[in-house]
Formats: sequence, structure tokens, C-alpha cells
Amino acid sequence: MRYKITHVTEYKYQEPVGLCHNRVCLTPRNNSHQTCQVSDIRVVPSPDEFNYRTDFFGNTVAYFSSYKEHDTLQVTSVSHVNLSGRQETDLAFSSSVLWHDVSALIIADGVLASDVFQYTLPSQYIPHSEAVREFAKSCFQEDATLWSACNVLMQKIYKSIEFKPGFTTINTPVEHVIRDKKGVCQDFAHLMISCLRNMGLPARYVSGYIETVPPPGKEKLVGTDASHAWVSVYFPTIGWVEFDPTNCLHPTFHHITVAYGRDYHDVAPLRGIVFGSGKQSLTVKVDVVRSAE
Amino acid sequence: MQSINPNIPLETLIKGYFTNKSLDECFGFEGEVKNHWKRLVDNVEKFGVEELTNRQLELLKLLKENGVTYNVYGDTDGMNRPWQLDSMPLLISPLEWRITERGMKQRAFVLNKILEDLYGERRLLKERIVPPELIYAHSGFLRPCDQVVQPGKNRLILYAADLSRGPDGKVWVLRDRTQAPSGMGYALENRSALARVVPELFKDHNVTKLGGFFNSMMQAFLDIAPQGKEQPRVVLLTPGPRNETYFEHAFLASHMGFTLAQGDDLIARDGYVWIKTVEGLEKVDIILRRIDDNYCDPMELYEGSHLGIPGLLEVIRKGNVSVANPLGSSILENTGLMAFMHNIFKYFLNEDPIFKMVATWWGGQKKEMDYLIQHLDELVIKKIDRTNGSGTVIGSQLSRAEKDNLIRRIKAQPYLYVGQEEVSFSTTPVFNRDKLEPRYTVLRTFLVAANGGYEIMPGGLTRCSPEKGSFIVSNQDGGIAKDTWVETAVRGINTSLLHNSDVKRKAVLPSRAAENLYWVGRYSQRVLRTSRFIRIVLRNLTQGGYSRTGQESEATRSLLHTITHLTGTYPGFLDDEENEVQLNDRLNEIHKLICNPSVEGSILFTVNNLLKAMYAVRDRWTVDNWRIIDDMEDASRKLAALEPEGIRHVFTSLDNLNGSLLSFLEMNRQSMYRGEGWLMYRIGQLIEEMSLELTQYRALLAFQFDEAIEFQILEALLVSNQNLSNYRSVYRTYFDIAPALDLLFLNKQNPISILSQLEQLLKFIDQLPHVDKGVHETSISNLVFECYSKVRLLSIEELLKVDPEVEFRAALDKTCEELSAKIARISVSLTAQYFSHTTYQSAEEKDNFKLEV
Repeated sequence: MRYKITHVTEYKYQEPVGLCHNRVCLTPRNNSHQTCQVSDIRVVPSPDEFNYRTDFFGNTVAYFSSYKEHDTLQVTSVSHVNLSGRQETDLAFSSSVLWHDVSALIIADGVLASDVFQYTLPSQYIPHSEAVREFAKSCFQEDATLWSACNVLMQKIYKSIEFKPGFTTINTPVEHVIRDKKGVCQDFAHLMISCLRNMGLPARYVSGYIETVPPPGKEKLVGTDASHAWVSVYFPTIGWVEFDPTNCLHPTFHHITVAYGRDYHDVAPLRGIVFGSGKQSLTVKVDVVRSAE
Repeated sequence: MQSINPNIPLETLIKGYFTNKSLDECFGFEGEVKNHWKRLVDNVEKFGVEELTNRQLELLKLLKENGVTYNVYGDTDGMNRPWQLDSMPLLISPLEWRITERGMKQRAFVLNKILEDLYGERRLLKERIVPPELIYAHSGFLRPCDQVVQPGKNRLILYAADLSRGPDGKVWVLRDRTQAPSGMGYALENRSALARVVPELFKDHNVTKLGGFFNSMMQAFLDIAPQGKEQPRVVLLTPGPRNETYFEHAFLASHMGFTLAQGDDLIARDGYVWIKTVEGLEKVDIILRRIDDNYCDPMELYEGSHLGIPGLLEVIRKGNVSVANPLGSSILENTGLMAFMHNIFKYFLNEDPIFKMVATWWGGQKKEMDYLIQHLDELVIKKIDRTNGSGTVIGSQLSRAEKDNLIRRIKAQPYLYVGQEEVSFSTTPVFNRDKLEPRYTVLRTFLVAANGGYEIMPGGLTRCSPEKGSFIVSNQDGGIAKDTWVETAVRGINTSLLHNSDVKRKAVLPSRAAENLYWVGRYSQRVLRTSRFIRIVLRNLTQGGYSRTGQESEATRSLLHTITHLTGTYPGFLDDEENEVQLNDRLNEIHKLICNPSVEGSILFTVNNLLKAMYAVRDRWTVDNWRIIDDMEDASRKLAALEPEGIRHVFTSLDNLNGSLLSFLEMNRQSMYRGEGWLMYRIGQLIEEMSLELTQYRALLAFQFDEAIEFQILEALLVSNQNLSNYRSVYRTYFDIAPALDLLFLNKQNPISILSQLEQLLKFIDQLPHVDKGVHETSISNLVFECYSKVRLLSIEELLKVDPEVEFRAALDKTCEELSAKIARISVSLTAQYFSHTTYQSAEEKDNFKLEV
């Protein structure tokens, strides 16, 4: 499956900004099920410095800065991505690994798994929490396999949390999401990761896109797609297996991966510092279009 | 030294010393003086108690006058806590020092390896020499710093470790300081204070000098200079005057010839870091940081930081700036690492550590966690990092409930906790009142990467517990410092600092320093002038302005109004125009305007601002100036303590304050370097002086009064301006407004006439660096010139014209108003051009997640 993704971010500043530094995390990853054939990031006004590097998590991040005075800043990322099947999902489906054996098995995995441990620990948006553990506990029966426990958990989150844009912000704690039972995909993902980590399991955050399918008989509107976020769980000997708790499904040919991190904080699409004190406003438009092979 | 006291025997000096039998550095268990301390104890005995007491006081006085302080966070009174230094040094025998040196160099080598590995290959984690969680759970492991390499052989540039001696006589490493180790400046200051106040102690000792270490430090910076630059510009990055060790930042900066800067003095652009100076941007090559690494770049590290430089990491990655210590090095301060050090030493060196370490159990492993919980009573429990406070607790001091709570927290996140053996320290004698007392002692040693390896400071910073029998040894808790002596067999080569040709480059004046010097000029003038004027009005009130008629005269009222205008404390005296006001109300208001620091515009308020500005550029004042600043603080404390009823006694305190301030100004006039800093300071003085004068003239002279009243007003004005004798000698007449205006505005022989001052201002403004030939530069000198020519062309006759209807000199009023406005604009333009600070914020983040099916 081949996609063209256009992601436009525009900042408007009330007062002109003299200098800005930015970090952009909008280049899709290459991995076992995805190749990013073309990726291009355009910045208007054209930046004075621009370069790419690979971050700690293996994501491609762009860094740019602008010294010219400007009152709007537009960042456009266009990428072409080829998707194939996620084999890890099939392997996980038939895996008999019990969830409470995972830690021991990771240690046995040895050298390769040393960095997996960081995904069992709290991070910026995913603190240690008794409340989350309480919420998750019922999904982790003593003799459950990791696969079944993850699926039960995904269903529980899907059923208990209502998808409601605008109710939460980036800084809404996971515990409030459990309490208020409302959130967006980022909250779903953070909650599921938090549940897994509080049970001692390694889980990471996936940022990316999802293709939307218009209601039958309606034409797809431009700019109505969105960034998406889901979850990836480490299965010893198999690798990372993905779950989408917002939609309660296993990502296949509709999920395009941009970046992995411990949580949103590691992979925020655009982060920056502007020198100026005026107000700013932000609009984001995303298009995910299936293209000919 | 004419001390009539006979030399007292040691016995009286150490009476009661051996009540608690801990290991002592100086004395053996039988009370005998250890061999290598004998010469020092002899020298101490020779002083006698009385003389020793005097010297101890003198020592503290010297340190206080030199402005040696240790600030305590969250303690407004203790904002600048004087440094406590004991006159008895700590002696380390040559043999022991050799071991210390070897042990510390070995440890520095290994820590450097760890740092290299954790931000490089991470073999320690892959091979499980160190459990990965211990590193990944520590807030000091900064992922954005991964794989970042700076020039130079070593990553760890500056290193400090706290050592103590256990009951078995062996030396222990208590903790490592690896990100921005503090104390080396204090160590240097301790040495020079001791050498100055008690030189006799040094007799028969060959104490190794500390200067060589600072040379090595300079070499260390040359080694990490980007592109091998031979004359790198080094900036010492400080969080600012409120930081606990700000004294040291300023002291080191001026000792080493570095530029003292705060985060917003620096800017990252075009792939470099720049410092904002009055001459524009200057490139920075090396940053010696005294800021926690997470705060250094809000762009990639902690976003809420306003102490750092956005974009710094990207410049480091490009190799265009080097930071000591490199960002991310606080990972080495992870207390959990102590538990794995033996294996790490083996791994990198195949050697055992020379120094023992405090036995440490890391909770991240099941067995160790169980041990922690079972042995809580015998252990000190710590967090692995210092965010949200170190959380250090002594198990045996906890209540049952506290223990349960702690155990619950450990079980929830075991990898965040370590348990350490309680260690007892050895004691050293501290001179307290009239005898020596044993105090627990910790030595901080310092190393710097140089010559391919590490060099150690021969000595260090010794700190002792503030209370007898207390184990708390830290500056935050008010510890006592000691100089630390290491003896050399051969007389050391007298190395003077900076024999290298480096840092001989032109000094720059950072914009912030320029701004603070400008305000030192302005505030000092404001304090002087307003206090003189208030003083005169107060005299007037208490000596007749009131009492005779029972109500105030028109002259007094006019003078009171002027106070309100000068201090900007509206409505003040302007409010009660119609009401009958009692003398006491007047005095209370005046008391407030002098002594209440929370009233904006009051004298104390201005004095506090002046002191703040002085502190912010403390690296620029001489020791003599510090003594005066110290006096000013004392005087201002007395003013603050004055009750309203005692207002009549305010004169002495005000005189003391002004006396100190005048010496300060005179000291600057004599010795301040005539560079851009001087220009800023003088421009500030002139601008303040003229604006206050114009305010006075407008308030006092615009209305016409009867001759007698005008006489009183003029007298008060001329006295307060210290122009009375000038007036008498030049005009030789009764007070009259025409000659007075001539003297105040136009007389070029009068240094404080508006015209003289504008002339000087023109001269100074022309000497300022011209940043760019843009709009600003011309407009500032144009503005001054406009003022100058306006005054030059003034006609006194014109100014004197009175509108008889309202008895008002409209031309005078208008002239003062216009000039004041222009001078205010000069100040605004200067600020915009030379002092401009940038403010920045995080770009807004917003989710754009919508329902998907």
C-alpha cells in the first residue's frame, strides 16, 4: 500500500518574531513493514539553518532556525510511504509467552534488549500510578499470555474511554483520563502504555498517521485527516507489536509510522522556542492519500 | 604583636576535647599530637587564646568585607550569608596525599570512561555491568546528548569528590560532583585570607600553592577549544546573583579572566553561541557552566528553564562551542552507581578502587531491595538523583508510620532508591570561642582534565559540622570551612596564573553588565540626591517650619510637594492640599519615604535596588569597594530598623549611608577602568542627576511666591544641591531667582548645572561603541544634542516671565517638562540599543487528533 502524506503546520504571531529554533519530527521511519521513499520538509520563510539528524530513538528529526523577522511560520512535510504487513502481529498472536514472564525473558534476550528496559520506566507523561495499576489489574490474569492480556486491556480502554476531542490537553494526566473517561488518541495511547508499564511491561508510544475512510457516498475532504498515536508492546524474541486502543484494532495497512518514543514528549511533531512575547496561534492540516503503486 | 598573655599550654586549649571518642585528624587517642601536626600546633600555641580569638574575628571580618558569601535559597535574611572560615587548617601528610592523589586520579579516569560509554556505545548496559534501569531511570541521563562528542581527550573536565575518614582510619569517597562542581574558588579565597590574617601559622610549613591547579584548568579549557582555537573566549555561565555560590562565580570569573554571563546574555545563532555586548555580538568558544545540565537548553532539555540558551545543544553538536562539564554529566552523580563501582573499575581498569566507597545497595534488584527494607534502621536511604530534593533520610530516625510510608514508596519504584551504610567521619579541631573543639570533617577535592590525564588541586575545600557532635556537613546548613594544607618536600615553583598567552583578548562588556553599571550610576545618584533633599526638608519641619505658627508655611509645603515629585510617591504630600495636617502625619510620611523598603521610590527601596545592581556586577568591584558596599548594607539595616517615633534620629543613619556612598563614588572615580563600563556608569549618573534636578526646579521654582518664601525655597534648594557656596561666591547677592537660574542651568563653571552636565553627556555618548550605523545610534546623540542646544540658547529673562493671573512661570515649567521628557527618551533609547534583553517562549503545542474509525 502506498500513501502520500501532506502535513502542514502554520504558526501566526501577533507580534513579529525575530529568532526561532525548532525541532521537527515529521519524517516517517523505515522499518520491517514500512519504507519511506520520499520525504521533504519545507519551511516558509526559508530558514537560515536546516539539518537532519537521528535522535536517541532512531527517529529522523530536523532542526531549523530562522533569524529573519517573521509573523507566520509554515512547515510542510510531504512524504511517500510504502506499507507491507506487520509480521510481528501474527507472531505475537501465536506466542505463548505469559505476561509475568516477560521481565525474565528480556534479561535472557541479553545485549539486544538492554534498551528495552527504559520502556518499563515512568516518563514525562507517564508517571508511576497506583490508580492506573488498579485500573489495569483485572486485565492481567495470573496465567494470561502477554498477547491476550494486551488485547483485554486494549478492549477495556476502548470501552471505558469516550473519544472526545477538545476535552483534554497534552498536559492532562493519565489519571484524569481514567476519572473523566474522555480523551483523544494520545490519551488512549498514554493510558495503555501507562497500564502496561505499571504492570512492569515495556511499552512505547508510536506517532504517525491513519488513513480516514469517508462515510459511504461522500467524497473525502482535503485536510480532514489527522496525526494519530498508538502503542507498541515488546514481546520477547518477537519484537515490538502494535496496538491501537483508540480504534481497538491491530494496525495494518492504514497506520503510517512516523516516530517511536517513550511518550508524546519524545516525538512531538514540532517543538520550538520563539524570541518574542506576543500571542501565537497554530493550525495543522493533514492529508493522507492512497496513491497508485 | 604586644599580647601580654603568656603562651598558654595546649591543655587549656583542648580541655574537654576528648569527650566523645571519635577518630581525630590531629590528636591520637591518648591526647597526643600526631607527628605531622606538631609544628602547626606549636604555632597555634604561640598565639595564645586571646590573640587567636582576635585573629579569628579578624578573619571573619576580612571575609565579610571581601564579600565572601554563600547564599541560602529561600532565606531572604540569609541571602548573603557570610562565609565561616576557621583559622586552623586541615593538614594532610605528604604520604597520605600521595595516596589521595592516586586514588582520585584513578577515580576520575573511571568516571570519564563511564561518561564516554553511557553517551556512546553503552557497553556497560549491554554487558550488564550496570543494570540499564539504573541509568534510564535517572533524570541526569539526557537522551538529546547521546553521541555528542566535544574536542579534547577527556569528557569529564572538572571533577570534585567529597572524602572522609572512617573509624578504621581509611579514607572513603562519600559522593562525586561531576556536572558543575563548586568550591574551588572558595578554597582559593580561604588560602589567601588565612595567609593574610594568620601568616605566623605558616611558619615551618611548606604549603603547596594552589595557583598551579588553576593553570591546569586554563590548559583544560584550551584542550577543549573548538577547532583548536588558541585564544578561546571563555564565558562563565551563572544562574545569577541569587544562586547559592554566586560569589564564587564572580570570583572565579575575575580570577581566571572569564566573562561572567547569564543565559539571556548569550544567544545561539548561525551555528555559534554569541554574547551580547555593548559592541554587538561576540563569539563564545567555551562555556564554563554553573547551571544544572537539564537547564542549559530549553529547546531540547527542560523546556521551563529560563537560565539556559535555546539552541545550545545544536551548536555543541556542530562542534562550535564546548561546555565544561559537558551536558549530561550529572548522570555520574547517580548514587546507585556506587553499588556497581567495583565492577566498573574492574571492567575498565582491571584494578580495585584505591578508595573505599560507602557500601551501597540499589533497590532496583530484588535481593538488594529486600535488604534495604529489612535493614532500614541501619541505613541512610537516598534517591538516585537530586531532583525534588535528595530525599536523604536516616532510617533509624524515622517513626513507624514514616518507615511504612517509605517502604511503600520503595516497593512501588525500587529502582529510584539506594540504601547506604551510615558512616562516621573523623574530627578535626575547630577553634570556637576560647578552645578547640572536635568537629566532623569532610574534604572536597578537585580535579581537572589536563596533560592527557587529570591534575588534582593540592588541598581542597574542607568543611566541618557547625555543631559539636553533628554529622551535617554542608554549606546550606551553615558549615564551617577550613583551608587545606598539603606539604611539598621541595619548595614549589611559584606559578602565577595565566602565564599562557591565552585570554589576553579584549575584554567585552556584556549588555547585562552594562545595564547594571548604568543603574548603579542612576541609583547611587538617586539615593544621594533624594536623601539630601529629604534631610533638608526634615530639618525644616523639625526646626521651625511648623512649630511657630502651628501650621506649615507655603515654603515648607512647596518643599514637601517636591519630595513627592522626586520620589514619585504620588499622591503623597500632594493629596492633603486643603486639609489641616498635623506635623506628626508629615513626619510619618517622611519616615515611610526613608525607611520603608516596600514603598516604591523610598530611599531604602532605591538602596536595595542599588545593592542588587552592584551584586549583579560584583566581579567588577575592587576589594575596597566591597568593604564600602558592606558598610552601606549595615547602614541600610539600621535605617530599616528605625521606628517612626525615632525619625529625629534618622540624620546619623542617613549620613552614614551617604558617607559610604560618596566613598564608593570616589573610589570609582579614582580607580575604575575607563572603558565602556565606566561610560555606562557615568551616563547613568548624569541622566539621573539631570532628571532629578529638572524635577526639583519645576516643582520649586515654577510658581512665584513672596520674596521671603522664595528666599526660603531657594536656600533649601541650593543647600541640597550643595550649590550654596557657589552661589554666594559668584553672585554675592541675596537669594534671587534670576542668578539662581543662571547658576543652575547655564553656568559652565558649575559642574552640576544642566549645561555642564549635558556637555559631559555629549562627550560620553560619542565614546560609546557604535553598534550599527542604524537609526538608534544617531538618534541618541541627536537627542542629547537637542537638549544641549536648547539649554545653550535659553534666555533667563524668558524663563523668568510670570503670568500674573496665576503667578506661574509657564516658560520655565515648559522648559523643564520638555527637557525631562527628552532625557527620559535618551534613557529609553540607550536601553533599547545597548541593554536589550530577549524574551522567548515555547512554541505552542496543540494536538490535532480526531476521531478515526
